[in-house]
Amino acid sequence: MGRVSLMISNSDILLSTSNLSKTFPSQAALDNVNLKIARGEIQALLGQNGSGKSTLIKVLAGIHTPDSGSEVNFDGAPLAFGSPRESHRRGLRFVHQALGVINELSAIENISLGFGYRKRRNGLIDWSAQREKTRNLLQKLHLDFDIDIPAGRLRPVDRSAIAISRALDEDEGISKLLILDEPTAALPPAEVEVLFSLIRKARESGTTILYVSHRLDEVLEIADRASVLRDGCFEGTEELRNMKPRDIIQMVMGASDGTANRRMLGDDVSETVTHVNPRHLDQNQKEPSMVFTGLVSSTIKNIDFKLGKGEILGIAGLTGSGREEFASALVGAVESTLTVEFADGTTLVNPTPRTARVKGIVLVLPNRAVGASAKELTVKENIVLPIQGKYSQKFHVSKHKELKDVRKWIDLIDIRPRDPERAYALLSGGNQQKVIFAKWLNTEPRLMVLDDPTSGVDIGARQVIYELVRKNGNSGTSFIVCSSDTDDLVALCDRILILRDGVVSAELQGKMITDVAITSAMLTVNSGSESDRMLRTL
Amino acid sequence: MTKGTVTAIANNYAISGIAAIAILLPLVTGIFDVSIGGNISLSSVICASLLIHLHWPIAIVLLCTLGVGATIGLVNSFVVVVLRIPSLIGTLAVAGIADSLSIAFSGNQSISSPALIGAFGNAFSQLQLGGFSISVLYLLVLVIIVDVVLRQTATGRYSYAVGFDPEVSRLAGVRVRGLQVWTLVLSGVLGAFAGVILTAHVASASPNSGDTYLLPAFAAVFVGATQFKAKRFNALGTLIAVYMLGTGQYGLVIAGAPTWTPNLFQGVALIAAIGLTHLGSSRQADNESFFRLKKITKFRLSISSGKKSDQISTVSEVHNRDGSSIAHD
Repeated sequence: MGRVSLMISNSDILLSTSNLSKTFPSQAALDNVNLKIARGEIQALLGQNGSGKSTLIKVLAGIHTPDSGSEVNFDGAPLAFGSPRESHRRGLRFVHQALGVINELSAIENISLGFGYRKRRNGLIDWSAQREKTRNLLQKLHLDFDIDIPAGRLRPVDRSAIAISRALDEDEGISKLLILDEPTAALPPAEVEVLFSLIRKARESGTTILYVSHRLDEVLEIADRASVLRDGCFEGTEELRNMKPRDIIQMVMGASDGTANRRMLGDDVSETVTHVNPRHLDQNQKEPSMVFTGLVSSTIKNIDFKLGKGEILGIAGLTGSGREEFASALVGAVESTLTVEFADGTTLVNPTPRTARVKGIVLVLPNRAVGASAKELTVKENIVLPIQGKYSQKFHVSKHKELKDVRKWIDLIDIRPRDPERAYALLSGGNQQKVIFAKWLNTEPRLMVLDDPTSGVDIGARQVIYELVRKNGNSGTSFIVCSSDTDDLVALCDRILILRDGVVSAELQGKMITDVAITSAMLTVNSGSESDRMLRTL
Repeated sequence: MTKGTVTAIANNYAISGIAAIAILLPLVTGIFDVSIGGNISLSSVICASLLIHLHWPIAIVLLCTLGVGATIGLVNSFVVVVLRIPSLIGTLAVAGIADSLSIAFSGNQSISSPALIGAFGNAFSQLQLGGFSISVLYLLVLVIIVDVVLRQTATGRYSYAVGFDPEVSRLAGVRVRGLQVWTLVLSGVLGAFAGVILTAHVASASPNSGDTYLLPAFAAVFVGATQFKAKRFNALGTLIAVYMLGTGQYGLVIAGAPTWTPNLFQGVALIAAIGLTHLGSSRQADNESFFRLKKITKFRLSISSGKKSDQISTVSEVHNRDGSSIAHD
């Protein structure tokens, strides 16, 4: 991939911060950060959620003003703080995790959201010039797609491309440093490579890149160097060529934590993969506790399967295989038909979220998903919501009982801050995910259907989620883990169904479950459209 | 302030108060019911004509009128919950229809007759308790009931959850649409009740007479939401706001301010109360409580027009819906 060799002299430094600190009323978010970014490099900024990455970005973007004594030198001159316009004018460009691309607008319109339209003398929009400009911006990234259709109909990576193109727009000054915040969070795995090639193209066109992420495998692939923040402190910048992934994890995690995370380790440890799952549950000796027949939804054709008590079943598949809809279809959150027979002889036909919950089947969405949890409610209100009725007597909701249960979950799965009345929106991503788990665990379910349970959570929260699933699995709760992340599946599952074109194309069990096996099962069994699509994107 | 002033304010704004409590209910579940004005006009006219022209006993007339309100609530439900038309537009259309019907029923004339005073008997308006009209008592009872239901019952909690996030509530197994229908029907019934009180209070019924209650009702509910720390729509805060705004307005009238000032006052007070809350909390990094009000004040098309199956069809879809607004985080 042609990493740039960096012999850094002072004139090669594009951005340097010295003694950069930011203190919020309650805590120090950044503490004496001395970050240096060299011209032309792709530098990664690593750190767990809450390590200060976002605060640093916001200081550079002019959204936060740092404490006095902080200095940022950019392109040979000090950067004035607190003015987004100034940061932009100087050539600092940002693509936030949420992209800021409006799905209903076309690429042309989205790009003009940045710095307006090209206009004719009479004040009307010069559409042909605007079109030309959009084409040129996309051309820089070697991209070509329909710029007139609504962005929502494009591939997710094309929407990322629109956001990046907009950041690279040079109508108001040259873009010197492009800062990407978790750019792969919203991308299906198959499109990550496309994004990487976009990023490399952007670098070739002369822009330096700061790639903010907590995914080490991606960082190893794309970046030349990586800087690490931990608890607001700068832990150093390392050439990635000279680093072992383990050492970087050490920097990110702090004190030697033996439970190094697989996601962060990337391919480096694929040999150890089979040992990750500590459970040895022999499902063949178990009576199935639930039998699912005739699962049909808009992307799932017809799937039958059985599930044992305490079994953890994985669902894998490429984008478009039906995997994305599987979890929602199972509880009737999207239109679906399905019959569930339980061991006690009862059946559930065509569930709705309500009837499914009553029978003990619950859907756990990732915290970013629509419908995962109510941002304006408190932690407590979110947790008790599905079974609010349980706490109410005649004209009276027992606050005492509510608080008792909520406190139990806060302690048990370490939700921070430990405040039941905290507004959910103010929690970090990992803690939000924990609240979502608590909400459904509190209903005492028989089966929890997890949809991408670790998307967007940090290493620590990921481990907590894994432990939760294992512990509850061992105590008899069954799980279905639908995930685009093979690490989740390898770490958790007793058995995995691989989906293709809406049907089960393969099944993996026990020791057969490895990263490689899952990926190749997803890819190789697909002689048709899926692998073509996969190849095209590579 | 003399006792006379106090009772005058209490009596005069009891109808606004009942109208405000009426729209509070759907607003909690995320629905704007702006048909309240048309509802009051129509029910007032129907109530008066049944009493005067048909000489029906008051109990039957009351039932029929409340039935009219319930029907308006059901029509609103059909428009907003079934057809999924955004509530502000949908109920505005229903308001237009109700207003037209009030003109049709009354022949575009004010219905008044001395018989109207006797017809109501003692149960409405005429009965005074130490200078206070009985409608003040109705309002207080209503506030207490609604306050208890919203605060202290599972139904109330579910209603707030539905208002803040209908999709989360649906997936949690809450009967979202059922709750919304209920609040709209109750809003319709309470609106009709306000219409009956109005008729008794002024001993006449005019088409379009209810329109003047629309702004005060919404002003009271929104200002009421700023009264307590939680910044949620609530009954007690609404009651306080009704009389706060009422006192200010009454003061202006007594001071001899021109007749166009009351609505000006309501409008300015509404903007000021909510605007100041915005300013106060957006200055702080911790704008915890404010999330709630802001979310509701944003006009939420998604409640009614969202295609639910699309919303969670794929994970990537979800993510970019999530990101479908310019980020200022």
